[in-house]
Amino acid sequence: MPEMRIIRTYVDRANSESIRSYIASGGYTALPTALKMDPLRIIDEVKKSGLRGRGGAGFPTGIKWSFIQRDSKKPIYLCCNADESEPGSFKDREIIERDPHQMLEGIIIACYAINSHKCYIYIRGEMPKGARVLETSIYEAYEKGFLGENILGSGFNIDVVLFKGAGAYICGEETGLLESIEGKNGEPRPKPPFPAQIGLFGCPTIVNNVETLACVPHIINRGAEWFSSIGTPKNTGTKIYGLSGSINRPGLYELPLGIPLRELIHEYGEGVPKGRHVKAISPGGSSAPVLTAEEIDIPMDFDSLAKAGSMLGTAGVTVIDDSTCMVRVAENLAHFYRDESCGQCVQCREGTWWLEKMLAKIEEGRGRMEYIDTLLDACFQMKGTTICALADGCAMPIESIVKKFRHEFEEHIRLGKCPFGDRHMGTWDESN
Amino acid sequence: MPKLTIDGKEIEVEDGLNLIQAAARIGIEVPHFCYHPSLSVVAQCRQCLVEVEGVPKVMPACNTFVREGLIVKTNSERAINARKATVEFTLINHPLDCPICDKGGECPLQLTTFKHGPGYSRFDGPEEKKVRRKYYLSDRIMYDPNRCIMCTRCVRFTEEITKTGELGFEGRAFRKKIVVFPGKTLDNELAGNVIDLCPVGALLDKDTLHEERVWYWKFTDTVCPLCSNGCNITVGVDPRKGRVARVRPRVNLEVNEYWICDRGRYEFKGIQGGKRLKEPIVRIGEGFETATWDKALHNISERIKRIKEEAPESVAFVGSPLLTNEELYLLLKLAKIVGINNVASNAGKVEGGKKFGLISTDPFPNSMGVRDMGFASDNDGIGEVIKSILKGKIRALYVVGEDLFQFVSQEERGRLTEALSKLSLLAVQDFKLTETVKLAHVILPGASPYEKDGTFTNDEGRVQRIKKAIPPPGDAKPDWEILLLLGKRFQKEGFIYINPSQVMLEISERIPEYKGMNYEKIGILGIKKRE
Ligand SMILES: Cc1cc2nc3c(=O)[nH]c(=O)nc-3n(C[C@H](O)[C@H](O)[C@H](O)COP(=O)(O)O)c2cc1C
Ligand code: SF4
Ligand code: SF4
Ligand code: SF4
Ligand code: FES
Repeated sequence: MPEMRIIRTYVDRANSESIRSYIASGGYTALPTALKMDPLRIIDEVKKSGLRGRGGAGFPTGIKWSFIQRDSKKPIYLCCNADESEPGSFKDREIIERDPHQMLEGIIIACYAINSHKCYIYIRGEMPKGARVLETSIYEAYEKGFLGENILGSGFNIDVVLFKGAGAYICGEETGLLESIEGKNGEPRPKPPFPAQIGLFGCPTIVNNVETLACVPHIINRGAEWFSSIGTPKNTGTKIYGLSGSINRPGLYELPLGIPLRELIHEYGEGVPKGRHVKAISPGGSSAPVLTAEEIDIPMDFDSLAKAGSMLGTAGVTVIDDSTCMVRVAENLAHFYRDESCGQCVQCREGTWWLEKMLAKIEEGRGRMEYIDTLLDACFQMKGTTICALADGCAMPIESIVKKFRHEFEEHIRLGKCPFGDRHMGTWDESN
Repeated sequence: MPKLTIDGKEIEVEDGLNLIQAAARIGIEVPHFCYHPSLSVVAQCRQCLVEVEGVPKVMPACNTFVREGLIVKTNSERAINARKATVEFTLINHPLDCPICDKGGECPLQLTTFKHGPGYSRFDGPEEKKVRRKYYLSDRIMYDPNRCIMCTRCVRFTEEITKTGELGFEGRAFRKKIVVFPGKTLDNELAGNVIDLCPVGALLDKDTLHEERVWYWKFTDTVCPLCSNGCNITVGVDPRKGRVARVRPRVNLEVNEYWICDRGRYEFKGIQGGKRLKEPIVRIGEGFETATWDKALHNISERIKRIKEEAPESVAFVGSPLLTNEELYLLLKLAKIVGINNVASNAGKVEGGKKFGLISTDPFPNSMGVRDMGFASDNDGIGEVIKSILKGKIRALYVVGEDLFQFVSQEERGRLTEALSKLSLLAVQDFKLTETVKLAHVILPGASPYEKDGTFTNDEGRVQRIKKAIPPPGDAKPDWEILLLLGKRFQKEGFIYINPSQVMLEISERIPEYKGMNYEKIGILGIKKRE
């Protein structure tokens, strides 16, 4: 079965990233249409399309835009979140490297809609290629008059600035991102106030994900009704799913929201390698609670996954097979988050550290039975108690692993060693 | 004025308060570390979590503001457990070396753990706690990253209060630590305040490092004697050692808010440790001899009486803006009774604004009091007296708390020494050994401002009480007491007071600006004199 490609239509084409290729395939046609529209109608159209943020939380994009006080005396900013650092997620990178003008066109339309004259694209430090491509794309768009002053004779000005991060997961969190652009440590801000009220440099700001913005030109071109006819009623449009882990055909697949996970894994991904069986699935990036093999029939959309106690997140699906130790998976996760915590909140700074310690001890056969409940309680107390959702992002998957694979933890503790053999992960520099 | 409910109690408070402040109004304490009323809210420590009806998550009380109809629960099981958990998390990598921690005994983390913590830790393997090197942020302040709970109060202080920005943090997650920016050191004039601000023993005063245990101390609420701002302070004294161990700011929103400068914090050592006068001394020929109070005072009163008879205008008294209102009043009263017109005191002078809104250019605590009690309001008075001394017009001089050499130029010092040496009587009352004291015929050992009771009036006209934190050394006496003893030798009934508080009652009757004032009304925060 073929994918349903909207955003990924041209990614396989040679030089698909060039403006020439984009225009040849019908790009930058939504822009003149949009510029002729009343900005409020654009917001309405996006609302009607049902587009929900692709950055992880699935917040309705049109509603977010309508939070901006358009006649603000302060400048209004748009920030394009291209920090994609969530383990298991690699969808934005393809858009940036292979079809960046889609995103740029979306940025221009979004700016026009929210009355912003400046957009910062915050790109992850470890994406040098993407940054190079974007530099060229922005330059091309300026040359063609899609950016800069008086865009297409509309009298509207927009500048786009590319901002390279220094490589911190937390700078993908929207307020961490704002702090970073302001030249400070990437430490999330307490909310409220939300960025739409007080954002970048204290001004009203919208932060949107790359994929979210890439959807916008298509909605303008083909209409909200068309977009909302794809997927399920409350989860509209296509979604770029990333398949990785123990899977025969890893990669990106653009499919309507709501596609059953089974189909994604077994038809598109062609299943797990021979002789292996699916044991667990992380359905939406590392922060999503894992699903068991029995839950494989779940529809892959925001609401179905939320109902099942997990989340669609970035739709980066990581398949874990029966040769993998779940304690080690949890330990690996804890390690990532304890390294990436910005360190403001104690639940996160110490909690991630504590979880990793406990998990490492269990993995090394030095754990004790009471650790299991302590793990669960620590996870519980890390959820919803911190400034940003990074602590939740650590606690949720680990809690789900402990709950759903408790027997593996017990076995480790009983045996005094890992039944899957020694850990091959390296050790980390704890020096400071 | 929004009405809200906290733990079932309805209250009405002004807009803009957060839930920590609102709860405090009805005596509910929400534990907190990073929140400080004078600093921006960062909601980082997560110790203040409470439940708010209709909000699915527990909310930081410091960053949740009062609203009409809000229903807040600080005492629900969920809120209590969340705060318990915060304590447990906070202590995971905390060294818990309270027995050797200078903060121990007055540590908000200790207290919060005691009141709100779970009472145990499930963290297994304390030997695995991360241990990091301590280092100095200035030549006075040591930083212990192991005890630091990353509340960033210290950082915000340098950003928002002093605006000197020496501090920042480095690294993220468990590597995070407070650092001084390259090329800087934490040496602004208010730097010491970060030690008090720190809710744990992570910022340590080198001066008292591992030397004091706060629970041995006796605390006295008094006023800093080092400039005309009159910052409120608390003096800590270990009675076993009998000396001031520490000076800290005492909150007075009208005067110094939460802060004092480093001079106010550390300079007591100079006063305490400097050469102190401990007993009355009388000059016999070329030598000095210690004397009883009786003998020394007799010596003075008899000579003043005699010289006064011979040449009424040749006797002069000099006071000082370091004396309390009560002492200044008594000195003037004495002059009046004896019939002396040559009475003067330095009246200080405030020039320009105060640094950090705190540090005045007038280094004396009671210049205002000098003027209020009836001395000349400029410094002409003292200038005239010095001139008279230099011209040889003065034969007897009683100096209280002042070093006359301050008022002459380098070139004139010789002349002043000569003129003072020629006096028939130079009686000097002071707590420290000054050039003037060295020339005295009679030395009366007084008390430093940490050693006596009374009031100072600051440069904004606020009358504030100073209190005796330690006794004066040796035989030394508070100046008011000495003035009483001397006064009685001239007119018994005019100097019967039990304490300075009674002197204040008299002041309140005689000086219109101080009308109706008494120690009870002045209270711990002082009151403004009348316009
Ligand atoms: C720890 C953390 C990391 C995040 N990283 C990213 C990221 O790399 N890219 C992204 O688009 N959103 C990320 N988000 C979500 C953003 O905070 C924000 O919700 C999103 O950019 C909004 O865009 P959207 O409305 O278009 O989804 C992250 C959130 C958290 C809590
Ligand atoms: S939850 Fe973690 S990453 Fe987020 S602000 Fe708190 S410490 Fe930083
Ligand atoms: S900071 Fe407080 S809790 Fe920590 S060691 Fe010192 S006294 Fe104990
Ligand atoms: S040193 Fe003290 S005040 Fe500064 S961040 Fe650490 S705990 Fe807070
Ligand atoms: S006091 Fe509220 S989070 Fe620190």
